[in-house]
Amino acid sequence: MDFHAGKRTVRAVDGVDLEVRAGETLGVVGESGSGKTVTLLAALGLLPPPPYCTVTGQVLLDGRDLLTMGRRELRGIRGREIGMVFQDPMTSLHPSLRVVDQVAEALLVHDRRLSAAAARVRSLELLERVGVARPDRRARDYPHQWSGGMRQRAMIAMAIANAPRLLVADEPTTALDVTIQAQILDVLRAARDDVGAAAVLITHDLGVIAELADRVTVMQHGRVVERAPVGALFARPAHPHTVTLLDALPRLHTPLPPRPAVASGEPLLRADHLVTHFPGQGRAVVRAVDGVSLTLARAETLGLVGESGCGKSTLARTLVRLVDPQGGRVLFRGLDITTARGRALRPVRRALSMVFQDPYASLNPRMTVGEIVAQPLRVSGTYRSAGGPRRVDELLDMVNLGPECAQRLPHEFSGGQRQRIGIARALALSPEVLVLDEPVSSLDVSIQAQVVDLLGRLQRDLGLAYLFIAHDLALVRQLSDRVAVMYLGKVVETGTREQVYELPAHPYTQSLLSAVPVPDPSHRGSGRRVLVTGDVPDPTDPPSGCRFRTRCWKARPDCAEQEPELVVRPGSDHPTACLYAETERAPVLVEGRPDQPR
Amino acid sequence: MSGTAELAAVAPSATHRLRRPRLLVRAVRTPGGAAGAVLTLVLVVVGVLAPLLAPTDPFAVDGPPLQAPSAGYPLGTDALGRDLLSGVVYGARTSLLVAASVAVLVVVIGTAVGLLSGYLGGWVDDVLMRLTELFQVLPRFFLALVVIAFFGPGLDRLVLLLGLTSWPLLARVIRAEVFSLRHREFVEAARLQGASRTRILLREILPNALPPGIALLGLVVAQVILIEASLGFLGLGDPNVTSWGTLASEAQRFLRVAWWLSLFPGLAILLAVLGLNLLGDAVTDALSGRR
Repeated sequence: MDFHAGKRTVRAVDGVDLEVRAGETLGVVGESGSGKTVTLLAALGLLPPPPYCTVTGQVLLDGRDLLTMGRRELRGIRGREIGMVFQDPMTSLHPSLRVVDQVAEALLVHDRRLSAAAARVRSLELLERVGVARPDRRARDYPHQWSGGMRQRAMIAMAIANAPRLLVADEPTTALDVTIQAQILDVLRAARDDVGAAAVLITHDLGVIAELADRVTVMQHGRVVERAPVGALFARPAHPHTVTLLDALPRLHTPLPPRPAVASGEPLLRADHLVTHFPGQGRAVVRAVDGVSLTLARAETLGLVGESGCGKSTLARTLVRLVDPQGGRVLFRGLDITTARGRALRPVRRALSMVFQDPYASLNPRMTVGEIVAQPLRVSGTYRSAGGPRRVDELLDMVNLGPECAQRLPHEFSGGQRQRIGIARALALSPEVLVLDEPVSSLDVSIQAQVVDLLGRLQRDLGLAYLFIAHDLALVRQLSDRVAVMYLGKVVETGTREQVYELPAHPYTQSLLSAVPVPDPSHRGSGRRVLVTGDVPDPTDPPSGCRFRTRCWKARPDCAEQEPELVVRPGSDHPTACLYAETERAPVLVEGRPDQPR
Repeated sequence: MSGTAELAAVAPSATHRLRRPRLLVRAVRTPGGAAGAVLTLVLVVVGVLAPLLAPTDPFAVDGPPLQAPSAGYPLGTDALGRDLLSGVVYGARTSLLVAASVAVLVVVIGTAVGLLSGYLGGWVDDVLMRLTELFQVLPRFFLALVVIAFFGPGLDRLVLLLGLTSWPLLARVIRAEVFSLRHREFVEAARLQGASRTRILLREILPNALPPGIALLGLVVAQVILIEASLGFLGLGDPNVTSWGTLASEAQRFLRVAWWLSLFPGLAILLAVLGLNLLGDAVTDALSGRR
């Protein structure tokens, strides 16, 4: 399949054969640019027509070629025989129509005899089937009033509305938090089994593939590089690209190499009961960070995990003083910098640095790479004294980019390279602490591994302390010395990585860990999954007492009365904010040995 | 840990990443943009080189009156025997002068207001926006009548008038861009380094906010030329310079006997405005393609 733009032609997909049999689930795996999404879009006729895009080949649904079909016939098939679930629940629903009406539309388009009222009744049934609680109460809601997880459920409801024979899902859970992802995967699985449909699941997440797929096709650079049943793929990957993908995947249960011991003594960076609020709608206040205390020692890595909305990014920005806190203290080397501004912050600006999440938005598109990397030096007036262009070359070299990169503009580089430029910029003033806010979340798994290796080497060579914020639990486990888990503005559990990962005491941590899809198909259904129900509460009005109680399976009446403190609970060896902290080996899925203690 | 080796030093252009040409170049590559660029270029060249290109002084009465286009007078002559070609050429010069001056005024005021309003927000934004609205609702033609009634006609008055009533649109566009740029991570990175607000405004925000403003400028300038011609047509132009509008205005009386007097100035206005519009649209398209 070729895309044409002006005089350039990009061959996005070259000679790809895919096959799905009735009732089976085909997983299509590949990194960004591999052509997996585009192949499916082409098969469904959703790409722009020639001259923008030319597709050759055949797409056979039960022997009928979709590519040569007339538009009317094709429209009859889409939505009825083929149901689709797209990636981004934020943009896949029409923002100005009520959700229930959109689901009803999926029914009405294909069944002329259905009355509007009957369609509505059916849509409410469908929404209930996909796990939307009390859909009748939410019948008048618009998409923006629903969370990402609920919107994705609505999309699944639309996809199965007409009992399709084939379900196509393109990265259905990529934009969702881990616990929500676990819920949605269950919904997908149930929906597929309910309707008895075959499914094509496109994703870059091998864990998701292991959970749902029967057979797998691996794509790279527009070609199919490997085809195998799911068990064989994971156990005996044949193609080097598959091997790379599997190797690069950070895993939750593999043995960890030891980390160098961390020096004890005065912590480098410390937060005491830090509070940061934002004004919300009207008079509401978003309590983004609500009493967080943590410490970071020299050359140590503190991993901060939590799902979206927990406040970890706000915490990071408060620590580096991009945002002013409303309460509590931030201390750097014992110096109180909570309210410092301007001059007083100068020594801190040098020592505390940050790497941002989005490699496409964190570099000024109109500055050359050399200028970007030199910027901290210029702003602080130390460009000359640090060596000028030589220092820039030195910094680029530290992140494995050649000196000729300095003349180029950011858009000429890939995401992984841009992130390295961001790291080089962060190192310009020889900082002691680097705050990394989801630095690899938007990168492909193989590129992630490279950047993570780079960060590890830099830490060893330069003695940097890292505050590593991420939602990928396996990655955090790989990199951190200590870990803190956040929920709705508070730290609910903290300890060394061994303590937190092997004996998670707080129910939220347990559910987080068990929600991570394990990239090993032999575990399907064998472990006990601790599923969290519902969605994250409104941050402007958090639940009284323990904030997690509304979704916790252990919640008792006294959980609503007092807010549990972050202290070491009897039977545990690290601080947890739960009145009923787990004291025995947790019922979490343990690789290969679900019932045995480790 | 994962066994993957780090990438060796990489030269970026060795891969399939192409060097994207600059905005203006990309705009000009489209058929509309190319046409617009050519027309605009012609306008600029003719305007700048007017004294060299025009056969005579446009006010010089040296030819037979009301003569149709001929060898000696390619565009014909008017009722007083003045060469129309020279008139059109010098008219281009006037339009160019007005357009360029107004453009400068619009860019300076509009950018300043847009930047400050967008970045500082709060009461500064409120005050500046009210100011913008004030200037935006001023009715140009009536204001022109009033100004000329009080102060007499003149090119400088025209430029001031048009400049002061055209900047609001640019200010709004720049302000909207600044809103979206304000919270981008590269701006946060600069703040983190301790960059002053001025530095951030000028080095981070301005270069990124300007391109949509430039796209709009083309359209604003096209409109200015049209208005200047219209004012000339109404008799409010500067009598000391030749303007396409005044030429067209004088041509009215001779519509039936001397078609060339209306056609050529009208054609000139058409081509100039069309060219600028096409170019402005092409730049806008190139810009949105980038995003």
